[in-house]
Amino acid sequence: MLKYRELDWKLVGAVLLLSLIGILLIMSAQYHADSDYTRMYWERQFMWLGVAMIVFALVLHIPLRFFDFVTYLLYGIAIVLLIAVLFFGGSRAGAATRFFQFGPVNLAPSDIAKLAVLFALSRYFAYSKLPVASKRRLAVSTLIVLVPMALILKQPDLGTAVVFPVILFGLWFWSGLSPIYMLLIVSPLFSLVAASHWLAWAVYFLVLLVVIFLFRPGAAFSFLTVVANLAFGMITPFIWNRMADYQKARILTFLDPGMDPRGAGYQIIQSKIAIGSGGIWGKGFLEGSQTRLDFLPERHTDFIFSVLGEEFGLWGSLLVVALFGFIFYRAVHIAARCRSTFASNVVMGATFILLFQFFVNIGMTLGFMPVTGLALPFLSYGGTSLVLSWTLVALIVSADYHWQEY
Amino acid sequence: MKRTRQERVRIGIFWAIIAFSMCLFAARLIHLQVFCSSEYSEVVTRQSSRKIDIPATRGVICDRNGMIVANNIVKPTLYAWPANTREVQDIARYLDKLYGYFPGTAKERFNLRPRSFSYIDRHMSDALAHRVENDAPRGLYLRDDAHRTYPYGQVGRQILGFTDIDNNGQSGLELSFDSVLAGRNGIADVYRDGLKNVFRVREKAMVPPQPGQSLVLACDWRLQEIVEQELCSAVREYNAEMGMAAFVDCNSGEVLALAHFDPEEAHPDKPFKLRAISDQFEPGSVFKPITAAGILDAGLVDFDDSIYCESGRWKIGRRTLRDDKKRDSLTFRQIMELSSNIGLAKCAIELGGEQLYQTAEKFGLGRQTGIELPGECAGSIGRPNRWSEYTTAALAMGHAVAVNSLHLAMAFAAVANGGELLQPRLILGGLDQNRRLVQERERRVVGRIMDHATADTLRAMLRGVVEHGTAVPVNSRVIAIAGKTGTAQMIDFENKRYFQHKFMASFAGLFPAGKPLVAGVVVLQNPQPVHYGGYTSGPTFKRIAERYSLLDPGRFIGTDRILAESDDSAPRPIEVPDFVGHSVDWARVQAEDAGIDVRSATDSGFVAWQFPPAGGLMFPGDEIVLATTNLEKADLHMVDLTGLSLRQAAAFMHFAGVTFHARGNGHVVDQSLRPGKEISTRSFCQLQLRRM
Repeated sequence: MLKYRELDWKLVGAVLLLSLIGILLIMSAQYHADSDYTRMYWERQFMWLGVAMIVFALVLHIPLRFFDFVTYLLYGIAIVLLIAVLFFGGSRAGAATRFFQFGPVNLAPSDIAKLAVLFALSRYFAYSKLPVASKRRLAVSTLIVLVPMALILKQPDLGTAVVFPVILFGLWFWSGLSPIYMLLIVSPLFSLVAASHWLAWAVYFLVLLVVIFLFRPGAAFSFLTVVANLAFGMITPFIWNRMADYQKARILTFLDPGMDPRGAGYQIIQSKIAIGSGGIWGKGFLEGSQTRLDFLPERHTDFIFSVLGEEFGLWGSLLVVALFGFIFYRAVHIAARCRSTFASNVVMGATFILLFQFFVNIGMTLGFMPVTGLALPFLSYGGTSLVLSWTLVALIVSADYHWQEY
Repeated sequence: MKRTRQERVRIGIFWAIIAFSMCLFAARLIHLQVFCSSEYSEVVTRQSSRKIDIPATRGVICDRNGMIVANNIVKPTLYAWPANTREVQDIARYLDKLYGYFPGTAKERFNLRPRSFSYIDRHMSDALAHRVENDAPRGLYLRDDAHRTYPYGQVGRQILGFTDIDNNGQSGLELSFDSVLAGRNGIADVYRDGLKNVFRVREKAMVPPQPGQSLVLACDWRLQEIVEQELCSAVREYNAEMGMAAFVDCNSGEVLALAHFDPEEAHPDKPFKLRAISDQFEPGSVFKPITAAGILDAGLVDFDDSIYCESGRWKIGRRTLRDDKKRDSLTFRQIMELSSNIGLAKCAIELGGEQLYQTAEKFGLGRQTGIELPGECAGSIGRPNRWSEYTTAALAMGHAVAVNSLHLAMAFAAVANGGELLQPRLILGGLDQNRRLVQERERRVVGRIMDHATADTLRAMLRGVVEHGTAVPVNSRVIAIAGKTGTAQMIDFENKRYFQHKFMASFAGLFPAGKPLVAGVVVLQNPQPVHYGGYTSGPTFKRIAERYSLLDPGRFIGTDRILAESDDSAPRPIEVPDFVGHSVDWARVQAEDAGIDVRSATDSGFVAWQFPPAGGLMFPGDEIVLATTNLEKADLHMVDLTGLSLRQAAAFMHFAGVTFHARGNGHVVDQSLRPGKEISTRSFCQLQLRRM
């Protein structure tokens, strides 16, 4: 039986506060909407919060050891679901197939896959006896992430897919891999970007060779890195041409939002206007004109932070940022003191998922990240997102409760 | 718990990442919300509010009798503003059905696109609008727009001009007084949302529209109609290419009527010029009174002095002047009456070219009269220092000088009023809310251009022209007319010489001769085969003068009203009897005795109103229009207007308070309100007119 007093109630309190602020903002975001359906968003989010807390309690009562035990089963199920959703999945926007529909509930296999990959990587890094930088260890862990990621990209859902490498890199780092290795591993992606101009690419390549020369990560690794960089540099135009128009538009408008103020850059511009016009004290609850007059797109999901910035101003925004900061502070603290490597890995992975979403989402609303469609944890409207975030928190709290166990 | 150094570095890096992102966001938030806040607030105001024009009502235009000659009616306008492609499809399908197009036509025809505004129908009939109102799909909207309407159809349209579909003046008064008539549009400040929906008016930020100023014209629309009718029939009767006329009140300078009639004109309902002020011509002999004024003012001759007229041929330098008839000696008065070129040329040469030039200039020739209409030509006079004696003689006869019709009318008005050249006034003033005349414009005298005695002498001479000179056909039994004929060779601009057989036939005059009220001019271009002004323009002038003076005999009664006693074959005008208040039966009996016809809607009841009003003059065989009413039921009944002139019909409509609109010119051939129908002030009647 759990001793409730020993749970990290400060962390849970912060998360609950964020969730309630989220409901308040959703209420404001759709307050003036035409249809009752959209006006009821906040009620449904409230209901989902209840569901999330039940899931939270359930997860708390399951020992982490159990997840350790069923990790690969869970991973298998996730892969099967991801394949199945390609064939039987429903979709909202018409193009992407992303979820199963069970009555009113949409189950997205990508969310289950996030958890499955989190556990699988944690377990692999916890029990593998191979040296941190061994080729086999790097290759296997990459494979664990790559399979579900490829399936999600096939849907296609770029926004969700980018979470997976984040877990991988976070745990690589947490398990002791030197950042230089990671930089070299992602270097082909830099090559991809640098190759848009031959001069930039030449400079980049020179820097790459110098780095390899200085750190000497091993002959085979160095060779592979250079070859991959060359290859990626050469396929840049090819990739660019294969990209969907909306993806191109997102990248271009990220680089210059003013390029297309009525099209793809519109969202970022309007978000900045909303936050900026909020000022220090904000316009007040339900008073945001950007929100109310439909200038803000996706204001109850992706751009919920803009609503916050407009209606509650600087102090509201800083409060939410601070609450997130507190959660991350607690989480890293917990990860550091866990005696079980698996538990520590799970906490760190969960923290990375939350941190990444937090960073990308708020970065997007503030105008220095591209529009990806990643929701803000705890605040954005969306049942599965809320439940998943609370599940991650449950894992963190659970690991903290059992920190002494090996 | 002991951590390795590596572990501590790792955790430290994590702290750094978290701290970095927190600081980054905080800095960015402070940047946006503290330093850029005002800038973004402005953007919010700019993008979420928009100013919308509320159109002002255009001012109406009345004639001097208070009849509204340019008015506004509200008509529904149908426009499409579809939000998306589905609405476009719905609208296109609906319009195809509404207008009976082949399916798929409407989309192309009205250029329907999502989020783009397009007009569908800007003058919609009320019936169709009502239908649309009930079952229009989303994205198709109705709006009430004011449109200009001219109740008198084409009468006076050359003066009024016209407006385009957006109510901007395009010609005539509508153009020159556009800023006055248009008023100032109001401004509504509205919220606009991100989907471009406009949805709320900010009441306090609204500027109410200022309706346009209404104008009162000096014109008498009754005379205007008479002039236009007579010009039209003159052009047909005398085979002229074109006719124009100008009539002014000679004592105040008020312009009573201005018109031209050109059978070739492409769009008479959208006139771009008024040729009575925009066309210049050499006046010919009608200029002679101006020459005579100079001569008389200089005291060179008295009007009884004899002048030798060289038997009809006189050589000046290498050229020869001719008269119509061989005469040896004529008095100055006879020279005017018989229009002797030689006699006048001799006096003019004695006067001198410089002096004659100054006289012409004093009469306002060679510069614009300053009437409040666009497109007036200034005319011209040649430079005097280059003149030979022949040129001086030519100017004396009205050549080597170009004028427009209004110049002549103003010059004759000066003769009529005792020597003062007046500024023509087309606008009497504005109307206030209670339809009272405000901002009345003052009578403006340009200058005294001749002695009072000279003017009197000239007037007597001009009367003589009509009584026993070149304009005998102009002599009227109804009203004493004085004037001067002119038959000038037209200029062949292509070959730079005069046409041999093309003439401008003109008659400029004033009436009544003893105490003149009206001065005017009628010009016919190239009438064939008779080209003398005295036989073409003159009779036209006479008919206009007669008809106008009969309209309002009170003004013209005096010593000058001549009712010819001798000629019994012609019908004699009789005084209009007063039927108002009597029963219709009684009126019929009385009218039959007097030999006039009666037109009324009903055979029973009492006469409430009649036209022409009692006390005026009318000829036997003319019709008198009665409005009748019953004692039991106060309703008025519609009269059969067929065959009446627009003036007569309009008089009835005004009495009954019926709004009406006339199409075409001439006499009524059809009316939308059937005879005998009960009418009220809310009735509307469409009149169709045709020339008989």
